[in-house]
Amino acid sequence: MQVLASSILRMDANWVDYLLIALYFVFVLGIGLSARASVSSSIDFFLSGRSLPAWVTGLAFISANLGAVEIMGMSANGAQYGMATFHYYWIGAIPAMLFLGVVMMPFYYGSKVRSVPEFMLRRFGPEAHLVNSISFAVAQILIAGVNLYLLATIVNALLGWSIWISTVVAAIIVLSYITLGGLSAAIYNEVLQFFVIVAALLPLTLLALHEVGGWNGLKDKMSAAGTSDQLDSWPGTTITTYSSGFWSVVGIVFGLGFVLSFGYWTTNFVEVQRAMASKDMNSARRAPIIGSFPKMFIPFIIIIPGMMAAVLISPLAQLKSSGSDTGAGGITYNDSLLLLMKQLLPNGLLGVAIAGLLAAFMAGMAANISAFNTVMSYDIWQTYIQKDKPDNFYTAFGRGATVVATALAIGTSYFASQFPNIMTYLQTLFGFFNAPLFATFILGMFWKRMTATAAWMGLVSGTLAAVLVAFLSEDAFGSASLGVLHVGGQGASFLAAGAAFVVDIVVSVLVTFVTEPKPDSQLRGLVYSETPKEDLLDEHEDHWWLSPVKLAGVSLVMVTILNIIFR
Amino acid sequence: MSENTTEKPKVSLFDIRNIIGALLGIYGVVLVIMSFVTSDRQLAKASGVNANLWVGIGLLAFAVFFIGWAFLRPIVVDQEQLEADKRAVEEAAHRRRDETPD
Repeated sequence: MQVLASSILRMDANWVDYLLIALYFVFVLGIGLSARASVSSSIDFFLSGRSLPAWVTGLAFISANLGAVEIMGMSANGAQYGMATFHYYWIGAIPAMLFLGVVMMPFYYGSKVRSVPEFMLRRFGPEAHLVNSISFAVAQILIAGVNLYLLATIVNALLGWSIWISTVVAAIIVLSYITLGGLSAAIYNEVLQFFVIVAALLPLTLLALHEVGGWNGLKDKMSAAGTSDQLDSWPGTTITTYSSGFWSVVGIVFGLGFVLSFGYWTTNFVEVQRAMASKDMNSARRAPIIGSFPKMFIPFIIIIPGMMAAVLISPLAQLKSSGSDTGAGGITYNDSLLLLMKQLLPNGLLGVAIAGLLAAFMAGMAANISAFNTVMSYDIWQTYIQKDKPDNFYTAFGRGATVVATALAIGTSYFASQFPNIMTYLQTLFGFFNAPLFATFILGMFWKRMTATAAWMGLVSGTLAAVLVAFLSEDAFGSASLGVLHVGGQGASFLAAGAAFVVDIVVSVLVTFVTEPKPDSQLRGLVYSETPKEDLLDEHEDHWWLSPVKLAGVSLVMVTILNIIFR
Repeated sequence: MSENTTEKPKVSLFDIRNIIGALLGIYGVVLVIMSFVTSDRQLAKASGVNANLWVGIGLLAFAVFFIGWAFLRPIVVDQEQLEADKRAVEEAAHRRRDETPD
């Protein structure tokens, strides 16, 4: 987002709007203080004492991801590409979330590990664990910085505060509630944030629909603008940039729907940590499945407003018909939602909307920091550096790690403001860690022979394969890419992730046959065949909605119907 | 946790549903009040729809639902079960630390 755009985006917020925003922050800090009372051990601080109900962890599960990148990015994609953007939700998120709840969560929760990397440690030993922990910790600091930078640019554009002050104020608020209440504070705030962002975006969507003349009005206006093809979601060649419709569908289903999304949703500790904070196995399994229901409807209040902004806001409509990236006054597609808010919302509702956006952006950063401090404290410090300290030492360490992480995030947000392209490529790069991780986890959970050496060699070679494909593509690493392979845009990411997955599997299988496996006795709770069935199942299934498998089935049917209606 | 939580499961005072209900309820009240003083120029933004009024009413209804839900179905925490689960995780972590080679 350019500083140029600030004057055109400046909201005429009045004192009532500021009051509503301030009230939100009073509640945020209040939650931090209340959650503090429940912190009496490190498990309380890092995993909410494994005590939360499924609907809370389920909503936190999707809120942790509902940050600046998703809200701005997906509404921008909606404005630019239309319905094809829905694939990021219905193909690229829901199936993976259901898979996590049904298949993988019993291993994570049942093995009593405290983090995803710790599962790696128990299944495969220290080499794979170190690769996983360190790359995860570094990625979180970087992404927290990106979230912080986006937050600051938006506060700057909307309210006119300087970037520097916005950054520091936001960082201090996040820091205070996490150091006070740990993961509970982060999760409770994510749930609160979810309702505030819906209270902001749902009225915005309805008002815009009223303005555009309903669904048919939107269709007519898009046809008039010559973009009626964007009302179809398949084959989605605009997002893959593949010329063939067939390969575009293959790319979306396997690249986005399988490799990238399964990698992200099932191995990323930022997400999994939320589910692991649940009070029992049944709740932990249902958390991502419960989350899938709101998740499948979120695009209606993010992508559809983006599409409507592209026909309702004249500078944006001009930008779209011109085909360039930046329009009058320096606006970009990223500004779609903000321009729509400015045009439609009266004072009062405007305050709710700004509070909702700030809430979402801060919660995104808080999720990165709370996952970071857990991995830093348990997986790096307690495992390799100071093993036998009393429990309260690690809680104190976690609070310290939160302070350091926030300071580092301010640093990376400054870096992001100076070198936005480098940050984009680094994020692309970290995206590549997830695909081989998923391959390694899924092999390790279902194939007891797989060895520790195979795990780390698979991870490293899979990641290298992704990096190689990205360099050979047209633009995955910007001008550093060579363009030997004629794929660009999202299509290049899908291909790179696919390559990482395949190479990881092949290398893991080959190495396994020439190395020594762990004895079966050490694999209970970690590998399917060595775990007694009663360890994996949960008791109370009195109603269909308490059964993870049945609930996931309902979700899958609903998302399939949505896919058919909006094909 | 204190020693006296043996017999009866404890009802938690801190319930996120009340907090969500309180914040959105206050937002609802402010928006409804605002709806009576919204200027014509502001109303024209959404083609005459008094958005503050409708959203305010919606938020109030939501707040009543959430606080009512928390009141009718309070969180019951089985403190002993929770403590036992937590200990199991801590012990598992401890065992692992002893297993890992230096």
